[in-house]
Amino acid sequence: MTFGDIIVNQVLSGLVIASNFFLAAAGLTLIFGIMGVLNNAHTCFYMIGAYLIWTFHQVLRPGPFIFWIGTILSLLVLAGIGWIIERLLMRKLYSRPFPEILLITFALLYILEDMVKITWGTLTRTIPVPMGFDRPINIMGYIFPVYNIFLICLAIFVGAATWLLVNKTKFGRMAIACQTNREIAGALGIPIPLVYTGIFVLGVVLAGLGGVAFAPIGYIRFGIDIDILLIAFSVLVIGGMGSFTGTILGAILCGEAYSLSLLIIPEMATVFIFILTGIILVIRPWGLLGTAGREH
Amino acid sequence: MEFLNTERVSLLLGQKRWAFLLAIIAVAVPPLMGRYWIVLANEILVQSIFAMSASLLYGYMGRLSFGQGAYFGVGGYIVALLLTKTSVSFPFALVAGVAGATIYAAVTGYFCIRTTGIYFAILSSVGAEVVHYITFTNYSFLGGENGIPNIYPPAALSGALTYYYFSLGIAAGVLVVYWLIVNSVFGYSLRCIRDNPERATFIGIPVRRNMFIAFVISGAIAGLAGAIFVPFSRIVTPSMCGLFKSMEPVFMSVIGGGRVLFGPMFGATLWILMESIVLTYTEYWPIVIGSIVMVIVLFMPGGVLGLLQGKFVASRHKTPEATKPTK
Repeated sequence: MTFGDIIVNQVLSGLVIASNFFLAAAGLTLIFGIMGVLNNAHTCFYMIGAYLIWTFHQVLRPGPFIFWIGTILSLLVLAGIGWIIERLLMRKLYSRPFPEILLITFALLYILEDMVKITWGTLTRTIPVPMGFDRPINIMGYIFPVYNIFLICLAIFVGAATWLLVNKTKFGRMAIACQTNREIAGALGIPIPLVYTGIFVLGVVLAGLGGVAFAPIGYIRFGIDIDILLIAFSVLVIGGMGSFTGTILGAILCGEAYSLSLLIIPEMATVFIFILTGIILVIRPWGLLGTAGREH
Repeated sequence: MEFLNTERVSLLLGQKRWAFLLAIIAVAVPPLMGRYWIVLANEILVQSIFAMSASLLYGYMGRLSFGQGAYFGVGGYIVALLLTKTSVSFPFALVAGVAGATIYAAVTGYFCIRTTGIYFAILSSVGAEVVHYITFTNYSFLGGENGIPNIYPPAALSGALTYYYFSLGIAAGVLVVYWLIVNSVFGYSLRCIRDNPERATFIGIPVRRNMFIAFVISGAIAGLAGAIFVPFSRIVTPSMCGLFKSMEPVFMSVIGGGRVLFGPMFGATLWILMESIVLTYTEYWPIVIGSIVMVIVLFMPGGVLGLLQGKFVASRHKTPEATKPTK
């Protein structure tokens, strides 16, 4: 392998890592962008998704479609969890100042993480790569696992679908109306509570989808939520809070930075992302694609 | 003297009774109790110092820092390294720990104070996770996941009770410094930055410089807490510098009341006592404390002491003007 080959390989796996970061951060940026709530407990849903798919691998009858059936069931369970949390807790937070929101969602993280511990324990679990995806593929002379290609496609699909949903459908337009001016949107007859519930549940499902999709190639382990939460935050602030395109850009930057620093100093790959975040924020305090003055 | 005007003297006198009572309890009660309670009391002191560092930023400067664990960890790790790998004296190790935390606070503070709101919270938590990752992944020098064990204080301080009095002295010193800071001109400029940063700039307060100084002081206090905690716990681990550790002082000051002088101490005391009680029944302490924090933030944003003080002040200063409904 020449040096160029190694770089190409690393850039490709950087895209896989970027897809992981993007799925973890997409829901976060969606919820923040529309509702103005930064949910610290967000990546806990990522971890719950990963544990759910493991559980369904234990209870369902093994077969070629076990992963896909498990995925659908996991996402349904997560949608239910998200719906309950939105109705009981998040709804009370929308009009509060942001430090209180951060504190309360952090308390929610404490609670959810402990519930995961009660339900699944703290053992690291693994599940097999779904049937048909567990072989390598040859792309222009580079050997690459099929499942990784699938993950990149999934992230692109999710990004495109979410963008279309927000920008091209009636639901998305209602959401944008609520974001621009809640009172007038309400006066126009837009069902604000319904829109907010929908966006929150969508965000939770996206985070869960990240956990489910990356369960076969990553670890299903306790504590992954904190690791990925900090990275999701970095992705968000690099791209600009609430900017969906910015999140895509941030995820790609972080993924590639992570992957390429694995070549140089593997131990410090995550730290490298954080340093990158600090530098970008000093140059542009509102992120690469964010708008100045929307920091609160 | 500039800071001894009448208003501040009356402020001190108002709180003098409480300080006096607290001091008597803190000095006289622990010798009568068992070792378990002395250990607990020591932890309360350390966490009180730690909580004060968060209160200075959140209660007075209005900035939510999720990165206090970093300075606690840096202080703790430096003391641990110096005490286990070199033969420097104990006071020197403490000073070096605080100095290290101060330097790290200055580096992260340089980045953090340039941001506001949510960005500040995120960037400070990133600062904590950097320390967490470095300590977690470096096995050769920092012991990795297992941390550095077998850290012993000098023989004179090896007893639990003597170490308790040592911590008490330091905590009292920090409380006095904290009191002086929050009631100084500088402390009032922080309140001004919290309530209206634009107006603060207009009336000539150097906003960034003051925020930076407060950030560094807060980091130094957190580093001091870590430095005196480690020789007592005998071990330092990466879990002492992560995001969860950073949340503890913030939650403590929120529970006690971040804008009240004794709020952080009260919150830390409540936290440690509740933790020790809950853990005897169930290991699921995070659920309990998570729910408590939620209830406090939702229903009494000033914290327990803030609520009590508000009632107290209202009953004392009830004037006809205040009771009349304003039009």
